[in-house]
Amino acid sequence: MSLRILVVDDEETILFAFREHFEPLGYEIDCAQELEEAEALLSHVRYGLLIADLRLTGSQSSEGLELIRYARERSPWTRIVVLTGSGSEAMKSEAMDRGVDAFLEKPRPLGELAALAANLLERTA
Amino acid sequence: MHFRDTAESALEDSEERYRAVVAALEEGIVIHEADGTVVSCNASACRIFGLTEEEVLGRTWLDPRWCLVREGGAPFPLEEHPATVTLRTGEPRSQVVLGLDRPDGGRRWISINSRPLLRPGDTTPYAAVLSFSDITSRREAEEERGRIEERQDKLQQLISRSALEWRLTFDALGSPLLLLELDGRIIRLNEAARALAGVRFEDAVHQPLAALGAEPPWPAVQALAERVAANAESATAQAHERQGRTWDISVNPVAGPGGERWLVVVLLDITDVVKLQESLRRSETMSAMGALVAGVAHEVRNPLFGISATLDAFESRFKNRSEYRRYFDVLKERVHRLSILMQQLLDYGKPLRLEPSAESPEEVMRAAAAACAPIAAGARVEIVEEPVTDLPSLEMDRNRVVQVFQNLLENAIQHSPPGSRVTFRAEGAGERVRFAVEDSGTGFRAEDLDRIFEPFFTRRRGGTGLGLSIVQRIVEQHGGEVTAANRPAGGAVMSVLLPLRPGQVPSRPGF
Repeated sequence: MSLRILVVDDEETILFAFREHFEPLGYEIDCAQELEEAEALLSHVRYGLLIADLRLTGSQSSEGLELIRYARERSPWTRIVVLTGSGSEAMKSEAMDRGVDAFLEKPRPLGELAALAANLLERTA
Repeated sequence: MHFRDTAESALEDSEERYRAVVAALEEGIVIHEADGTVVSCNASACRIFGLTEEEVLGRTWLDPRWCLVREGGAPFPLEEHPATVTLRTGEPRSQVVLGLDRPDGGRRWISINSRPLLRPGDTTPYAAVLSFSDITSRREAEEERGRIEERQDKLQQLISRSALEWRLTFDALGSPLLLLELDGRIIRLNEAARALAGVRFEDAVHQPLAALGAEPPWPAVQALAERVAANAESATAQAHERQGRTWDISVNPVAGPGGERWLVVVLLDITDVVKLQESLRRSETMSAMGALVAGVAHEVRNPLFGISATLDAFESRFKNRSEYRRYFDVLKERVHRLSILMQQLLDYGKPLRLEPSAESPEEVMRAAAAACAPIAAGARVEIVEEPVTDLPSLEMDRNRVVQVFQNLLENAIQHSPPGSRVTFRAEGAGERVRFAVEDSGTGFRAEDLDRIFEPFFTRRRGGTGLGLSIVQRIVEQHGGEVTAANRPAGGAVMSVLLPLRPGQVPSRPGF
C-alpha cells in the first residue's frame, strides 16, 4: 500500500500539524494550499489518500468539489476524506455523490483521523 | 191710539234692536219656514255660505245646489240636514258638523245648531232657527295640531328605537367602552367594560372611575382621562393587565348635547397583536443572530482545528515527556469545550430537518441511558428506567430524540449527589407520550424556571447554555413540549411530551 497522503487545506497550521502527527506514524505527507498545486501533485504522485477541505479561498468557494472530481478521474486508486469547517448539506451530498470515502467536520482529533487513514489505506492495499 | 202707537213703536224698537243684534252676530243665523224655505238670514250667514242674501232667501236645504259633505269627505244627505230634521221632527239638533262647498270652490266647515219654533200647544214647528259658526280655521288648527302630534309620536318612536339600537350595539361591542363626564364620573359603560371591571351598571353609573377598581388597566384609564380632560386633546396609552392581557386605551374629548365636554374611552385588547409583534421581532433577531453565529462558528472552526491538530501532533510527539502532561490536559480540555460550543452553535443556528421513523419509546430511552452510562458511573449516579409497558411506537427522528434524552440525563447526572438515582420515566398521555427525567439534586431556582430554555443561560461552570435550547427546539420540531419543574420531594424534573407523530411544524433556525 501507498503510505503517501496529500493534505489540502488553506490553513497552514493544519498542514503543519498533519505533517507533525502523521510522519512519525510512517506516512509520507505532501501538502497543498491551492487547487492548482493539489492537482499538479495528484497528476505526478501516486497517493493512497487525499484529505481535503472544500473551501480554499474563502467562505463562498468550493474548490474541494473540483479537486474531488479531478482526483476521481486522474487518480482512481486514491481514497478521499473530506474534512471541512463549513460544508453545507448540499455540498456534502454532492461530495458523497462523487464518491468520497468519508465526510468529516472540523475539528477532529488527529488520532481519530490517523485511525481512519490506517483503515482506508489497508483496504486499498 | 196713543197707547197703540207707543206699543207699536216699542215693538218696532225692539225688533230693530233684535235685527241689529242678529246682524252683528259672528254666528250665522238662518230662519226657515215650516216648508223649509229660508225667510231670513244675517250677514254672517251670507258670508259663511259665500252667497248673497237674495241667493239664500227662498232656498230650502233640499235644494240640490247645496254641496254638503260629512267629516271624512262623504256626501252629507240633504234630508239629514239639521234644519230639515228639526222641521220634520220638532227635535233640536246640536253641533252637527258639516262641510259646505261654496260656489267660489272654497270649503267651509260649520258647526250647526237647530232649534224648532213652536206655538204653545203645537208639536209641529212653524219655523226653525239655524245658528252656526264657521269652524274652518279651528278645524284646520286642530288638524295641524294632530299632524304635529303624529309627527312627534313618530319622532318619539324613532328616538326610543334609536336609543335601543344604540344601547344594544354599545353592549354588543366586544371592546370595553365608557362615556365619562369631564371629571371622570361615569355616564355610561357597555357590557364589555362592566365585565372587565366586574361591576353592575347601577353600581358604576354616576360613580368616579375609581369605582371600577385599582387593578390594571383602570388606573391607566384614569390617568389618561385626567390628562385628556386637562389638555382637551385625544391621547392613547397601553396597559398590561394581571391576567396577561394588553390593552390599548384611547380617550377622546367629545361635545355633549348641551355643549358640555365628555370623554369617550375605548379599550382594545391588543394582546395577540403584541405577542405577534414580539414573536416577529424575536424571530427577526434570531435569524440575524443565527446568520452571524453560523458565520463566526465557521470562521472559528478552521483555526480551532489548527490548534487542536497542533496539540494532537504535539502530544503524539512528546507523549513520553510526563512534565508536559498537565499542559496537554488543560489545553485539550479547553479546546474540547470550545469545539462543543462551536458544534452546538452551528447546530442551533441551522434549520432542523427531521428524519422520522417509527420507534419504540423504551428502546430510545435505553439507547440514551446507555450513552450516559459512563458519565453516570463517573458521578456514581444510577439511572433507573421506568417506562410503562405497552407504550405506543412514536414517529420521531431517533437520533435527535436520543440527543434530547441524553442531554436531559446528563444534566440530571451533573446535578445529582453521588450515590443518588436519576429516574427516567415514560407513560401514555392521550395522543402523546410523556417522558420525565427526575433527579434529587437542588432543583431549579424559582427565578430561573422561565429562563432555562434561553440560549446561553446556564449556571454550570463550563456549560454553554445551549443544551436545553437545542432540546426545546428538537422537541418543538416534533410538535411536542418540554417543561422544567421542581419536585415536591426535592430535585428537578424535566418533562417531554411527544405526539404519536410529529405535527406540521415548519423548520426554522434556532436563532
